Amino acid sequence: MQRIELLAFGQTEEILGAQSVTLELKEDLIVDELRAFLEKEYSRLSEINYSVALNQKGVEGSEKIKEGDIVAILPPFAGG
Amino acid sequence: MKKKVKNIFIEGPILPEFIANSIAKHQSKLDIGAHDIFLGQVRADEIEGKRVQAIDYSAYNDMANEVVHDIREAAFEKFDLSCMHIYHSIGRVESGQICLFVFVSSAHRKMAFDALRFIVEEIKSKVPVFGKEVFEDESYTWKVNK
Repeated sequence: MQRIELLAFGQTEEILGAQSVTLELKEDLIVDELRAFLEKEYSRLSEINYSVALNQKGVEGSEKIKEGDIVAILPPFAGG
Repeated sequence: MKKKVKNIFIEGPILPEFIANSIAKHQSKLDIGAHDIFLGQVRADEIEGKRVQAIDYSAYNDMANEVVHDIREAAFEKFDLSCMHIYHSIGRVESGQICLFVFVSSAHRKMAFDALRFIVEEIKSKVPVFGKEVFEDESYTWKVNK
């Protein structure tokens, strides 16, 4: 198992009910598996078009998450 | 050496005075022949019969500053620019007020026009800034960029 700190902002923060949560997840988890896990825990997440960032970079679903990574779930961007 | 990552965020609206001062500061730079400026302004959209009073901006600050840094570097690489300034509001901005200020300067107009469009489009699609559209009765909805 590995411990992951997950950051949330705006609408994802509202859905999680916290700005950050700590998760115990299996080793070698990929982003798509994290998404599936989160959408089961927090069903409202599946209703929005959120993206995942690892260490402040947007990533694809096949990317592996490693212990110590900063993981963030980002709601749709609305800058400008 | 990697250049220092700047902070793009300004608390609340970007004031016209700030923009005017920014223009004034460039009058000593005599290689510049063209400036181009983009200002994003909060619209009082009507959504399901309610009018937007303000947008409350939040952001993943560290990532946003990092992404803008990369956009800045890419723009300097792509276009022949003398300088570039990017500011975004954080917190509440009332409808009619300015929330984004992008300012590019170059020797000639074409570079300035092209660079500005590139930078603004990149900001809109890549920078993790989030907006809560607050209505007159203080209820809200989350904004999504088109």
